[in-house]
Amino acid sequence: MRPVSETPSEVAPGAPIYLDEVTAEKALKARLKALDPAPQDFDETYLDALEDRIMSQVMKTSMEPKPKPGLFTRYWQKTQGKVSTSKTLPPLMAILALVISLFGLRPSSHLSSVQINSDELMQEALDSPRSFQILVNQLSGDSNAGGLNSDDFFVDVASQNFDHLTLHELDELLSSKSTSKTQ
Amino acid sequence: MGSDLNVTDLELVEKVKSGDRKSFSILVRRHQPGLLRLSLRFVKDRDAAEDVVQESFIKAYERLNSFEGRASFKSWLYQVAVNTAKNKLREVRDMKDIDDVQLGVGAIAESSLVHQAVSHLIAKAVEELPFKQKTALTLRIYEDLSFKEIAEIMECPYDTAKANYRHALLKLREELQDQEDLKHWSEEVGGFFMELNHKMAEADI
Repeated sequence: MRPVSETPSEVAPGAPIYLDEVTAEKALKARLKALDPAPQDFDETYLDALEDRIMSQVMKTSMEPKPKPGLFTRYWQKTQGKVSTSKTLPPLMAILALVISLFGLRPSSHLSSVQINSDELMQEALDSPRSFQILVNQLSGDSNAGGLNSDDFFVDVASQNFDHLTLHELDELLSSKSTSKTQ
Repeated sequence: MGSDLNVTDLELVEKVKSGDRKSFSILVRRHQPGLLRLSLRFVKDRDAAEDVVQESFIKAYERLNSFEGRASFKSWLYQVAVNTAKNKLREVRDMKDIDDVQLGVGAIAESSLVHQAVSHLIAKAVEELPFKQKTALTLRIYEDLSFKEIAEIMECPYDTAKANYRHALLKLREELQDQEDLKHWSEEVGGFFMELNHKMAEADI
């Protein structure tokens, strides 16, 4: 904690002084103002003359009209901040309906298409177990319809290329894969 | 004239808005000394400062309908003046020798040579500050305005106004510390340095 003096004048010349922020700023202002070369006061006659000059120009100047408020401000001022339910409800409902139709219908249409596909696949499942597997995956919400996942895909791609690899390259590939898995 | 003192700036503004042009002269009389002092900080030359004051009052009158009273009339008027001075400064920067202008202003109030030299050094250091820092310092030190008012005038957040002021003090200290002549100053000036140092420490900058 810094020692705080009552006033700067209590401090002996040359000794360090510690001031709180407010006192320090007051003292700083006083010193800077004392060293200020700019005039603080002006002659009355001079100010009168300047005022006359300003006012003579003001008399020739016209005031700009009040700037128009924005659309929402105008609406708010018109309704005086009160929201009229009978007037605002229909457009609000229309906007709500539009939003629902744009975003809300998408999942339901997706569901209906799933339903249609399921019906078709039900028939096919009787003939083919593979089709039945697809149907089960769809109903359980698995996006990897057909029983394939990303690992299966990459294994397929890799297996097509393994034939062209040398034994050394294959070793390198397998060792790098095992390293990345351990990380 | 005495009754003018009881009328607030906002009341006068409303009168002017409703067509009473003479009420504007009370506002002029009330604020022109402060505005003149402020303008002299930026443009130095008295004629140019008068032009800034006149231009500021005319602009203020023209745009009075856009003044909504969110800030004080003084802050709003000073904001107009700072912007006007800024534009004027741009115009005269290349035409005037700043040192000559400063000597002209310094000669008005100074008596002792040491005092004048110190005063000149400070004025020069303040002069060399970036415009925003100089504005914040001038409004705070010489016009005794609060940071809220300074922020309104500078059209910036409160913290930005405060940061500009503190950076101005920091730069001022750096500038003045480099001056060899200042080592032989009187105790008064030495005290000023110490306060600056402590102010910086207190402000944690």
